[in-house]
Amino acid sequence: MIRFVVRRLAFGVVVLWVVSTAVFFLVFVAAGKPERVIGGPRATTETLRLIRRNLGLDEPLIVQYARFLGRLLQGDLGQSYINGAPVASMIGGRLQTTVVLVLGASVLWFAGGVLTGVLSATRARSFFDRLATLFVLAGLSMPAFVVALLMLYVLFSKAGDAGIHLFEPGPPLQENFWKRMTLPWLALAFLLMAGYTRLTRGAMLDVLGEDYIRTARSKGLPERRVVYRHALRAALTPVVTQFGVDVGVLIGSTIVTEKVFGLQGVGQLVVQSITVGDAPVILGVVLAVALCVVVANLLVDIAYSYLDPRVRLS
Amino acid sequence: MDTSPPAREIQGRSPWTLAFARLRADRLAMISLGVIVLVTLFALTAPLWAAWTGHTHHSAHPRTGLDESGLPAGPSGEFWLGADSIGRDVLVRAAYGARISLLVGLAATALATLFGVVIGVLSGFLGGWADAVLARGMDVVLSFPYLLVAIVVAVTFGASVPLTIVVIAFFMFAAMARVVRGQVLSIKEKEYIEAARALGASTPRIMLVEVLPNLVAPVTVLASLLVPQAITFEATLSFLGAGVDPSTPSWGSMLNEAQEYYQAAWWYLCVPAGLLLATTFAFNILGDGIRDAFDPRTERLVRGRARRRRGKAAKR
Repeated sequence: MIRFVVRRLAFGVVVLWVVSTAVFFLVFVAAGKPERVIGGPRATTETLRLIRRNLGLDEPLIVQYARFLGRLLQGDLGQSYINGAPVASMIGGRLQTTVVLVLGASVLWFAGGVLTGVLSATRARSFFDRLATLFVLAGLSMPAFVVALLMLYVLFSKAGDAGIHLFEPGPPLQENFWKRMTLPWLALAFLLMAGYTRLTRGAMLDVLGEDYIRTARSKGLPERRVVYRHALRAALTPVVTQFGVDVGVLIGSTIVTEKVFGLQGVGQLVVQSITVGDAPVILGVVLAVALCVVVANLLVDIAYSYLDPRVRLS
Repeated sequence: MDTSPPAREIQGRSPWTLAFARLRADRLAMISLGVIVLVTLFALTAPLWAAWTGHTHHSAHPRTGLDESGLPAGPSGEFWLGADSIGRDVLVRAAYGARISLLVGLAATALATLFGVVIGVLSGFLGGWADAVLARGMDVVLSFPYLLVAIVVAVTFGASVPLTIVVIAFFMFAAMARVVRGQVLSIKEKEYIEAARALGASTPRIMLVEVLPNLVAPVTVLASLLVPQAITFEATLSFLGAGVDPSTPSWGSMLNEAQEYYQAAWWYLCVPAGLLLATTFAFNILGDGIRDAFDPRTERLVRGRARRRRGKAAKR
């Protein structure tokens, strides 16, 4: 178990290193002209040179890279080009909104997806099953922002400007919390739920054909207990695996959802930073997201061995 | 729904003709194929629409396209599907947008499939350290926060159609390579591979002649499901302003512009959104149909089990 965790962590570090190196060379080298952003349009050549020197950009690339890695190992993500604030605290300030969005949506989507999947597996080929299949295909076909936009349109096109004020960027999260978060949660959950419904349905159908389910039934266990205690536990393993893979997708969709609903989370931060070319912030967010993905996958693998005792972590 | 071949037809039928026959009997899949054909025609005839309406995809018509308060004008004889916020024709722009969506969707999938198959076959067949490196590489690519990285790449190098295609293909090929690798690992152990080797076939020959043809079905299925993903990916990138260059109309960028006008101008939002959904929906259903056609077992199993259970319930 410990050896497994250590090995996975090592792989996670490799992933983070590859991601950070790739993004470092992308944003610092290819994008390259931060002094223009900092100095503004009227800066003289002399000012621009000074700024470059202050940021350490006049040094050879390899030195810059080494320095960047050194700072990273100490947990220092550097400062924003735009306002000089430490990147870590900029991300920290936005984290709450994004975490609330992601957690709320995850609960909705996991619970909704699994429940719909179980119901359509136990009623295979019924009307409900066909409806669920259609819903799955719709969910799989819809980009996050289209769902969000259509929701806004359907709900608020007739209600005048009540909706606009609700989703104006700015006010702190606590204000009108439930009113403001419900739609973003639903929009985000809807899209990912579809995949889980399909996955749970497939896994349940497989498991329900197993011998031990027949045994459980012939013991005279009530059908509900057979389905939810015996079958569901085994059917959950592939679903949980998928959950780990989807953390990355979820965070990607968060960027779009935040934009549509005017939520000031990490996603908005990175979009704004990209438009002004604030390289340290972009890099910081990408790394933070990659870290989340790595950790989520590790947790999923551990959860896996609890769900399926046959899986030995080694 | 699916027609099992009647007994009298004894002439040999390849798996391909069988799959094709099954697909043709799948009504939903055929309808979605029809939708895809319509969207393709819509895209191909974009210049015709422009000539017909007298509006090009970037010409603004503020006098006729905007009402007194400066809001977009609705559908009319002049603008069949309404105008956008600066008085451009939504219909014509949507038609040009269809070109981008289909081009990016198909080209990115083709590229991802090509690289995915080559890398997957090499990785699965060669084994050893080559496999270790390639498989780990796939894992790394799959755990990238890809939307973020894609945005960064697009902004760094300037958004353009070829770049968007390459970026999307890069993040999709790993999924293809992983599936192919898995297939190759199981094909490799089959007896006919051993037989070929015993007959003295070289490794490249085995890969091309014995392994590759067996990959066609799973690759076709996965590729057909990657197309809608690529289309969605492109629309999302364009929506965030990091897709194709902003002067080219694309469904994603139209939706981005429409975001502020959805209350005043439903057509501005609904035309590109509807087209996008119809296209990805159709590709997904067709992809499902292709999978069922190649592997009809899954559906039969479901049906068989359901029948068995129903029978049991009746006895009870």
